[in-house]
Amino acid sequence: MKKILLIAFRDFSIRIRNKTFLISTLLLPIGIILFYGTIFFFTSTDTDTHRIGVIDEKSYVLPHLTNEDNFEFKAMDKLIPANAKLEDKDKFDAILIVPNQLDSLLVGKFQIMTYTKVGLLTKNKLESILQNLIETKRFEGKSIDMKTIEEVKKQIQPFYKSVTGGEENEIKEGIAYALSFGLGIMMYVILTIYGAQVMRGVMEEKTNRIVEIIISSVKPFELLLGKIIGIGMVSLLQLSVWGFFIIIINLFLAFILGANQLNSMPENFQGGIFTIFNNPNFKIIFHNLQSNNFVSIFLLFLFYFISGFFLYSSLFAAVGASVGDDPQDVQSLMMPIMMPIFLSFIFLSKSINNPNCTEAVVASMVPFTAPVVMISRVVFGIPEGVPLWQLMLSMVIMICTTIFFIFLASRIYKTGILLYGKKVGWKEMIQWIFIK
Amino acid sequence: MDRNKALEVRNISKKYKENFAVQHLSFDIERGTIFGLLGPNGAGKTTLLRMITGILVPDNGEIYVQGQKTDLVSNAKFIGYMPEERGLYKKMRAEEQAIYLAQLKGLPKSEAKERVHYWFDRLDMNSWKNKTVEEVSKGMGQKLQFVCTVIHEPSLIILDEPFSGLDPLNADIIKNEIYELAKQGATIVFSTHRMEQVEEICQQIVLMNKGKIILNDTVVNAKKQYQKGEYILKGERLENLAQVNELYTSETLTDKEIKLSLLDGKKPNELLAYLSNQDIELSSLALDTPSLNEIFIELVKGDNS
Repeated sequence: MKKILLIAFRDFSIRIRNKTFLISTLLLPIGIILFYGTIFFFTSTDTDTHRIGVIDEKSYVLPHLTNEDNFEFKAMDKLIPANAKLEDKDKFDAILIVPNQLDSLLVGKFQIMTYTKVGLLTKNKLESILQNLIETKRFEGKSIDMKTIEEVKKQIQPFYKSVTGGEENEIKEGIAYALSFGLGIMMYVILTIYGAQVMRGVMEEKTNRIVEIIISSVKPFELLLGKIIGIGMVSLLQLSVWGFFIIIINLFLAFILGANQLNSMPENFQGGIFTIFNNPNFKIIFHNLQSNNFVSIFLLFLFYFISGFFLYSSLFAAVGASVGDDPQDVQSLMMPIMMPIFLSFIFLSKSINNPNCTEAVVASMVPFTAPVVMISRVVFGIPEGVPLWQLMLSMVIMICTTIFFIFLASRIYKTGILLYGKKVGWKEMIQWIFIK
Repeated sequence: MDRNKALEVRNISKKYKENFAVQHLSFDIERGTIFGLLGPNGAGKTTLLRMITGILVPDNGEIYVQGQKTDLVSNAKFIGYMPEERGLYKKMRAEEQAIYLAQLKGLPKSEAKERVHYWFDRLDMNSWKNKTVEEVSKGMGQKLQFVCTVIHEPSLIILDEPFSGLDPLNADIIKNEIYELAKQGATIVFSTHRMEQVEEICQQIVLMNKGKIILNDTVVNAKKQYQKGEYILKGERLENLAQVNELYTSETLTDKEIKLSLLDGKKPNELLAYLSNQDIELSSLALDTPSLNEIFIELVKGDNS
């Protein structure tokens, strides 16, 4: 055991000293900060007021336009030449020319002359204001009044309630959907990345020719296990750093939200980028994000990650031990291992839509697809997303299969690491399992 | 099993698929011996060494290291193994690597550090101890390799082709260290097909071919056994000697050197008596002992035919 830890610690410390590790560890949090930053940037820049001049000789539209949604409408009688020198208060972003003929108006043939670059979002907003106005106009000739229209168009109000009594709402569902997909993808990515790292580590020892020196001191099984544990610790460290950053970012948001709710923020803090926190939708999303059972999701993620990692990396190690330095050999031997990971992906898309569909249930029992698929089901809650018995069964299968495959892989590994210069296939690797 | 023996190999065999890599091998090595394991490529030397270290398990037979049945865990402490296929972690610093490998042999970290300091001082390696292996020369890497093999003071040191790829300077340093270790009581097992090294260093040899032992003897005995009664005569006016007579046949090597082969039943003394009466100026007469290389080639050829 002492030697396993010694090996694990070497693999761990060599890797975390590597620059690539530092870069990749910091890249994700920076990415998240950039992501939030971009959202803030766009929501804050969207608070700029757009001044729109309106030329409407017949007053079809102008009386119905109100200054809202960051639009300020002003009546005009003619266009302003592009080269005109104006003071800021007389400048316009665009001038809207309303048709003089009722026919053209009802078709909606508006001309909009722009003076500055008008963004896509602003265009959409303006178009939807005009669409509503024209719709009303179109109904006017048909003796249907607005009240009737509003009544007809009233939003339905569905109310979902789980039979087990759990609270359900659309937003929570949406979050679960996103989280389910996100965690599934994350599991997929880290299993492949770190699995491949184990394989490369094994190949490095073999091609460096140090492996025979090591296994004259420790059993091949200890070397294999030490390596898997060492690289597993690297991955956990990286995940923890990421998790830490995500928590810090969320705490930061919670602090601002909380402060806003208590109205304890200074007045001048409430403008600018902080307006997003006053958005009621954002508050609801954040509340729901917190109400998901993060602790159990986290623990189960950890379980499926560790067991999945041991399962896959022992197979990757067997491949690494069997090949020399020819990358083509690696490709062909890796195919059977990558296959179930790819399949997990297909089942993941099924599972996030319906966590209890047959495909998802089966895939979350098969140990090779379970880490990705089961975690995507767990997010929807127990028992809504996955009944407890299925979860328990899957975990037991997972543990037994992982132990079994580590055993098989270590036998392939033991023979493979001492063989050089021979092209090896799966058939031969399976024969190695039975060598004394 | 005998505690005074460094190694006892008892009737071991190992098969790969249908072919025997080694077959019914038995031999002993006394403590403190420098022992040579010889044989052409594919003779089964590496398989045998891997079984001695415990990396491979024989299909049949037993191996005892210092009276104890061999197994990897207990072997690690008293065997130092430098395999033919050897290397180091390229991205690891020299000192750190030596300490790590010593710890894997079971030394506590503090002791591992102490030993590394001793060897780095001894072999003048301190100036590059903090460099990674890929930053130092090949010769430096080989020194480090040797240090890593003997760092835990093993009583049985197994060196598979230890001088392959070594420059003469480093080969000499390592050779002297090997003598020193043997003097301190360590048993050294060499595996090589460089005969001149074996002749120079080893006391006892085992010659293997096709997985079997074809010679197991001391170097002195082996050479004596394969002597053919040939003498090298050096001197002046050698052309005055008869080329063939009732005593010998001869072969002129140079104008001042002749090889004389005594005929069956004739004694060296008769030759001396004969030579003293000839009109030649004798400067030396020496028994032509075969080199290990000649014995090796003759035995392997004979075995293969």
